[in-house]
Amino acid sequence: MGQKTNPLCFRLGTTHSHHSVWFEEPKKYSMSIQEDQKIRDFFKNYIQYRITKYLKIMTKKLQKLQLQQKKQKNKKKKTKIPLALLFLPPFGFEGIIRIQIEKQGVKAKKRFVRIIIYSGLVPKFLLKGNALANFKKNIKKQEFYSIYPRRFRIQFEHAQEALSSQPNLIAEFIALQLKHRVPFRKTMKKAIDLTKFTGTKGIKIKLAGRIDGKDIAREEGKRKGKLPLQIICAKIDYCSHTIQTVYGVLGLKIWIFRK
Amino acid sequence: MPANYQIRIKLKSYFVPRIEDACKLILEAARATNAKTMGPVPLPTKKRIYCVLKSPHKHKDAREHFEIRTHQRLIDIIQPTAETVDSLMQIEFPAGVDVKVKV
Repeated sequence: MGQKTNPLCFRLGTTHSHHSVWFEEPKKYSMSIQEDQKIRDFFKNYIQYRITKYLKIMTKKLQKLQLQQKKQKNKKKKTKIPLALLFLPPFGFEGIIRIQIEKQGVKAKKRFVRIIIYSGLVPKFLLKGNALANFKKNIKKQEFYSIYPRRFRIQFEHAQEALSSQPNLIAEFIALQLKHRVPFRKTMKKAIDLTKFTGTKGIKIKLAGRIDGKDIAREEGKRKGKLPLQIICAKIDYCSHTIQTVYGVLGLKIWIFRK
Repeated sequence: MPANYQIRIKLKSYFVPRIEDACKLILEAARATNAKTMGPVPLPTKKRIYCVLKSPHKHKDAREHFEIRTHQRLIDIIQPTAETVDSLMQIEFPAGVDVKVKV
């Protein structure tokens, strides 16, 4: 239904801030927005590509170590599998919470575009050695500057709040589960349980479309706790995500009321 | 050597706290080098309002308004010295503020 505004837009001056910070004359405003869109698309695709590459290598390592462990059944000392391999993110996971773009004006002395990527995964493995060099080469190849050439400064930052209180990451988690045809009530319940110990006062999940692959589309939702959408000083995070399944597209909306 | 020209600085931004910070930086630089300043004078903010259809198809009566507010500030520096000009050139303004300097 169409009565509710986007809670992020509603709170732009107070609890939420803009994701892009720049100033542009009205003639070049649209070009600047297109530049922002190109930057965001590029980073999402690149990070996904990097993560899939990393996961392929890590799963092979995991399989090797697991084989070794099987052979060592009778021995007392078994090869230990490092924690990083046991808790790998699943395939298709991006883990980007927010991409902040700050552009300095043309007349500034050091004009550059600062891109801050808040990601849910540890950024170290994303930019290590060769990966970093390739990353910078790819940025130079991409024609990002539609207005005037500017240098890029990229920062990776870890999220400040708990990962499972970020609606973007929970949306990706639900998306992956639904693509593998897990029943939707289970996934929604699991998602809500993930936010239990992270200081969230309320959560609402809404799913719309051909749920469980049925012919007739419908809406299903689940909520827990408080969710004061009318109160501007309440910190409510929101995310809308599209899920491409075999049966079509599902729309997912998540509201999280943090402290 | 005090010069007889004036520096007129016009600041434009969409964000009020950032433009205030930029003004403070300029005033600090000017006062540190003992130059007379006029301002910051807040010029009237300009609002660009866009009215847009909410729905992807028909439903002409359901619309949404968005606006873009540009805040403007004006600072004059009377009789600047070479030091003031140097220190002004070296200021790193926060992102999202457009600074135009007129001599």
